[in-house]
Amino acid sequence: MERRALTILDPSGLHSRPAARFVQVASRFQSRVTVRHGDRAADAKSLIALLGLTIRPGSEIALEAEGPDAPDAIASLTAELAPFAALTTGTAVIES
Amino acid sequence: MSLVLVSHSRTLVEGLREMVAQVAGDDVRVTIAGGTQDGRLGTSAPQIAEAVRAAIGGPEDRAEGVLVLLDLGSAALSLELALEDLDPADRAIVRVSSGPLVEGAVVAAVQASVGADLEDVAAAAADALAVPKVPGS
Repeated sequence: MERRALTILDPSGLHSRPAARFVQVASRFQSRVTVRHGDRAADAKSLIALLGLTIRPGSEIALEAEGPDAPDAIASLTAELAPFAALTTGTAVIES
Repeated sequence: MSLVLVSHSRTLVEGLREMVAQVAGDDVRVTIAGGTQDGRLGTSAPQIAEAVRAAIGGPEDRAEGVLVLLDLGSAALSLELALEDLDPADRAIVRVSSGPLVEGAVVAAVQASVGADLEDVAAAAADALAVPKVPGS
Protein backbone atom coordinates (compact mmCIF):
# COMPACT_ATOMS: atom_id res chain seq x y z
CA MET A 1 0.00 0.00 0.00
CA GLU A 2 1.13 3.51 -0.85
CA ARG A 3 0.44 6.12 1.81
CA ARG A 4 0.96 9.86 2.14
CA ALA A 5 0.01 12.18 4.96
CA LEU A 6 -0.99 15.79 4.32
CA THR A 7 -2.22 18.77 6.26
CA ILE A 8 -4.94 20.88 4.65
CA LEU A 9 -3.90 24.53 4.59
CA ASP A 10 -6.36 26.32 2.40
CA PRO A 11 -8.42 28.67 4.56
CA SER A 12 -11.64 27.33 3.15
CA GLY A 13 -10.79 23.67 3.62
CA LEU A 14 -11.08 21.14 0.86
CA HIS A 15 -13.96 22.95 -0.76
CA SER A 16 -16.30 21.43 -3.28
CA ARG A 17 -14.59 22.40 -6.50
CA PRO A 18 -11.17 20.98 -5.64
CA ALA A 19 -12.90 18.06 -3.94
CA ALA A 20 -14.80 17.31 -7.14
CA ARG A 21 -11.62 17.62 -9.17
CA PHE A 22 -9.93 15.26 -6.69
CA VAL A 23 -12.68 12.67 -7.25
CA GLN A 24 -12.27 12.99 -11.01
CA VAL A 25 -8.52 12.45 -10.80
CA ALA A 26 -8.86 9.52 -8.35
CA SER A 27 -11.36 7.88 -10.69
CA ARG A 28 -8.75 7.66 -13.45
CA PHE A 29 -6.86 5.05 -11.47
CA GLN A 30 -7.58 1.40 -11.05
CA SER A 31 -6.30 1.35 -7.47
CA ARG A 32 -8.60 1.61 -4.52
CA VAL A 33 -7.91 5.05 -3.03
CA THR A 34 -8.90 5.99 0.49
CA VAL A 35 -8.77 9.30 2.30
CA ARG A 36 -8.48 9.11 6.07
CA HIS A 37 -9.34 11.92 8.45
CA GLY A 38 -9.21 11.02 12.14
CA ASP A 39 -10.97 7.72 12.59
CA ARG A 40 -13.02 8.11 9.45
CA ALA A 41 -12.22 6.89 5.97
CA ALA A 42 -13.74 7.71 2.61
CA ASP A 43 -13.52 6.31 -0.88
CA ALA A 44 -11.63 9.00 -2.84
CA LYS A 45 -13.78 8.26 -5.89
CA SER A 46 -16.96 9.35 -4.11
CA LEU A 47 -17.57 13.06 -3.54
CA ILE A 48 -20.32 12.37 -1.06
CA ALA A 49 -17.98 10.21 1.03
CA LEU A 50 -15.27 12.90 0.91
CA LEU A 51 -17.65 15.67 1.93
CA GLY A 52 -18.72 13.47 4.83
CA LEU A 53 -15.19 13.67 6.24
CA THR A 54 -15.76 17.41 6.95
CA ILE A 55 -12.14 18.26 6.22
CA ARG A 56 -11.22 21.73 7.50
CA PRO A 57 -8.12 23.95 7.50
CA GLY A 58 -5.57 22.29 9.75
CA SER A 59 -7.08 18.85 9.20
CA GLU A 60 -4.49 16.12 8.88
CA ILE A 61 -5.47 13.63 6.27
CA ALA A 62 -3.85 10.56 4.78
CA LEU A 63 -4.13 9.29 1.24
CA GLU A 64 -3.85 5.55 0.77
CA ALA A 65 -3.84 3.65 -2.48
CA GLU A 66 -3.84 -0.05 -3.07
CA GLY A 67 -3.55 -1.55 -6.51
CA PRO A 68 -1.40 -1.77 -9.63
CA ASP A 69 -1.13 2.00 -10.17
CA ALA A 70 -1.02 3.03 -6.51
CA PRO A 71 2.23 5.10 -6.71
CA ASP A 72 0.92 7.05 -9.71
CA ALA A 73 -2.43 7.60 -8.02
CA ILE A 74 -0.79 9.01 -4.89
CA ALA A 75 1.57 11.20 -6.93
CA SER A 76 -1.27 12.62 -9.04
CA LEU A 77 -3.56 13.22 -6.11
CA THR A 78 -0.81 14.84 -4.06
CA ALA A 79 -0.08 17.14 -7.00
CA GLU A 80 -3.78 17.92 -7.24
CA LEU A 81 -3.84 18.91 -3.58
CA ALA A 82 -0.58 20.86 -3.72
CA PRO A 83 -2.24 24.31 -3.68
CA PHE A 84 -4.32 23.33 -0.66
CA ALA A 85 -2.08 21.13 1.46
CA ALA A 86 1.34 20.55 2.93
CA LEU A 87 3.04 17.19 3.04
CA THR A 88 3.20 16.04 6.63
CA THR A 89 5.72 13.25 6.21
CA GLY A 90 7.65 14.62 3.25
CA THR A 91 7.95 11.36 1.40
CA ALA A 92 5.69 8.51 0.57
CA VAL A 93 5.71 5.67 3.05
CA ILE A 94 5.49 2.20 1.64
CA GLU A 95 3.70 -0.20 3.93
CA SER A 96 3.17 -3.84 3.29
CA MET B 1 -25.86 10.13 -17.53
CA SER B 2 -27.91 13.31 -17.58
CA LEU B 3 -29.53 15.34 -14.84
CA VAL B 4 -32.79 17.27 -14.74
CA LEU B 5 -33.19 20.01 -12.15
CA VAL B 6 -36.76 20.96 -11.28
CA SER B 7 -37.72 23.92 -9.11
CA HIS B 8 -40.50 26.41 -8.54
CA SER B 9 -38.01 29.10 -9.50
CA ARG B 10 -36.29 29.46 -12.87
CA THR B 11 -33.60 31.61 -11.26
CA LEU B 12 -32.86 28.91 -8.72
CA VAL B 13 -32.26 26.14 -11.26
CA GLU B 14 -30.33 28.44 -13.60
CA GLY B 15 -27.99 29.26 -10.74
CA LEU B 16 -27.76 25.65 -9.68
CA ARG B 17 -26.91 24.53 -13.21
CA GLU B 18 -24.12 27.11 -13.28
CA MET B 19 -22.82 25.86 -9.94
CA VAL B 20 -22.97 22.21 -11.05
CA ALA B 21 -20.99 23.01 -14.21
CA GLN B 22 -18.36 24.84 -12.15
CA VAL B 23 -17.89 21.93 -9.80
CA ALA B 24 -18.32 18.91 -12.06
CA GLY B 25 -17.34 20.32 -15.47
CA ASP B 26 -19.31 20.54 -18.68
CA ASP B 27 -19.35 16.88 -19.67
CA VAL B 28 -22.58 16.00 -17.92
CA ARG B 29 -25.78 17.12 -19.63
CA VAL B 30 -27.96 19.11 -17.24
CA THR B 31 -31.41 20.38 -18.24
CA ILE B 32 -33.67 22.56 -16.14
CA ALA B 33 -37.34 23.28 -15.58
CA GLY B 34 -38.27 26.13 -13.29
CA GLY B 35 -41.30 28.36 -12.83
CA THR B 36 -44.59 28.32 -14.70
CA GLN B 37 -45.02 28.75 -18.47
CA ASP B 38 -45.78 32.45 -17.92
CA GLY B 39 -42.73 33.04 -15.76
CA ARG B 40 -44.23 32.95 -12.28
CA LEU B 41 -43.05 30.81 -9.36
CA GLY B 42 -44.45 27.32 -9.71
CA THR B 43 -43.93 24.17 -11.71
CA SER B 44 -45.19 23.18 -15.13
CA ALA B 45 -45.61 19.59 -16.27
CA PRO B 46 -45.06 20.42 -19.98
CA GLN B 47 -41.89 22.33 -19.15
CA ILE B 48 -40.63 19.45 -17.00
CA ALA B 49 -41.49 16.94 -19.75
CA GLU B 50 -39.48 19.01 -22.22
CA ALA B 51 -36.48 19.12 -19.86
CA VAL B 52 -36.66 15.36 -19.30
CA ARG B 53 -36.84 14.67 -23.06
CA ALA B 54 -33.88 16.97 -23.66
CA ALA B 55 -31.96 15.12 -20.92
CA ILE B 56 -32.73 11.75 -22.50
CA GLY B 57 -31.54 13.03 -25.88
CA GLY B 58 -32.04 11.61 -29.35
CA PRO B 59 -30.79 8.50 -31.15
CA GLU B 60 -27.30 9.96 -31.47
CA ASP B 61 -26.83 11.24 -27.95
CA ARG B 62 -29.21 9.14 -25.91
CA ALA B 63 -28.37 9.15 -22.20
CA GLU B 64 -27.83 5.84 -20.41
CA GLY B 65 -29.74 7.19 -17.48
CA VAL B 66 -31.45 10.35 -16.27
CA LEU B 67 -31.68 11.46 -12.67
CA VAL B 68 -34.31 14.08 -11.80
CA LEU B 69 -33.84 16.26 -8.71
CA LEU B 70 -36.60 18.51 -7.50
CA ASP B 71 -37.40 21.06 -4.84
CA LEU B 72 -40.57 20.84 -2.82
CA GLY B 73 -44.32 20.47 -2.70
CA SER B 74 -46.12 20.36 -6.01
CA ALA B 75 -42.93 19.88 -8.00
CA ALA B 76 -43.42 16.15 -7.38
CA LEU B 77 -46.99 16.27 -8.74
CA SER B 78 -45.99 18.14 -11.89
CA LEU B 79 -43.10 15.77 -12.38
CA GLU B 80 -45.39 12.76 -12.04
CA LEU B 81 -47.65 14.19 -14.76
CA ALA B 82 -44.66 14.87 -16.98
CA LEU B 83 -43.32 11.35 -16.59
CA GLU B 84 -46.70 9.81 -17.46
CA ASP B 85 -46.31 11.23 -20.96
CA LEU B 86 -43.02 9.47 -21.63
CA ASP B 87 -42.66 6.33 -23.73
CA PRO B 88 -42.07 3.28 -21.53
CA ALA B 89 -38.57 2.88 -22.96
CA ASP B 90 -37.75 6.45 -21.98
CA ARG B 91 -39.49 6.21 -18.62
CA ALA B 92 -37.38 3.15 -17.82
CA ILE B 93 -34.13 5.12 -17.80
CA VAL B 94 -35.47 8.00 -15.66
CA ARG B 95 -35.07 7.93 -11.90
CA VAL B 96 -36.47 10.50 -9.47
CA SER B 97 -34.23 11.39 -6.53
CA SER B 98 -35.41 12.11 -3.02
CA GLY B 99 -32.04 13.73 -2.36
CA PRO B 100 -31.63 17.43 -1.59
CA LEU B 101 -31.71 19.55 -4.76
CA VAL B 102 -28.45 21.48 -4.35
CA GLU B 103 -26.15 18.94 -2.72
CA GLY B 104 -27.74 16.10 -4.67
CA ALA B 105 -27.22 17.82 -8.01
CA VAL B 106 -23.58 18.59 -7.27
CA VAL B 107 -22.59 15.11 -6.10
CA ALA B 108 -24.67 13.41 -8.79
CA ALA B 109 -22.97 15.47 -11.50
CA VAL B 110 -19.51 14.73 -10.14
CA GLN B 111 -20.17 10.98 -10.00
CA ALA B 112 -21.71 11.11 -13.48
CA SER B 113 -18.62 12.95 -14.73
CA VAL B 114 -16.44 10.00 -13.70
CA GLY B 115 -18.62 7.51 -15.50
CA ALA B 116 -20.86 6.22 -12.70
CA ASP B 117 -24.11 4.57 -13.80
CA LEU B 118 -27.66 5.59 -12.87
CA GLU B 119 -27.68 3.33 -9.82
CA ASP B 120 -24.51 4.87 -8.36
CA VAL B 121 -25.40 8.43 -9.28
CA ALA B 122 -28.84 8.04 -7.69
CA ALA B 123 -27.28 6.55 -4.56
CA ALA B 124 -24.83 9.46 -4.25
CA ALA B 125 -27.64 12.02 -4.58
CA ALA B 126 -29.74 10.23 -1.97
CA ASP B 127 -26.79 10.04 0.43
CA ALA B 128 -26.30 13.79 0.14
CA LEU B 129 -29.09 14.16 2.68
CA ALA B 130 -26.89 12.68 5.40
CA VAL B 131 -23.71 14.70 4.86
CA PRO B 132 -23.00 17.03 7.77
CA LYS B 133 -22.67 20.69 6.75
CA VAL B 134 -20.71 21.65 9.83
CA PRO B 135 -18.30 19.40 11.74
CA GLY B 136 -19.84 17.36 14.50
CA SER B 137 -23.42 17.72 13.32
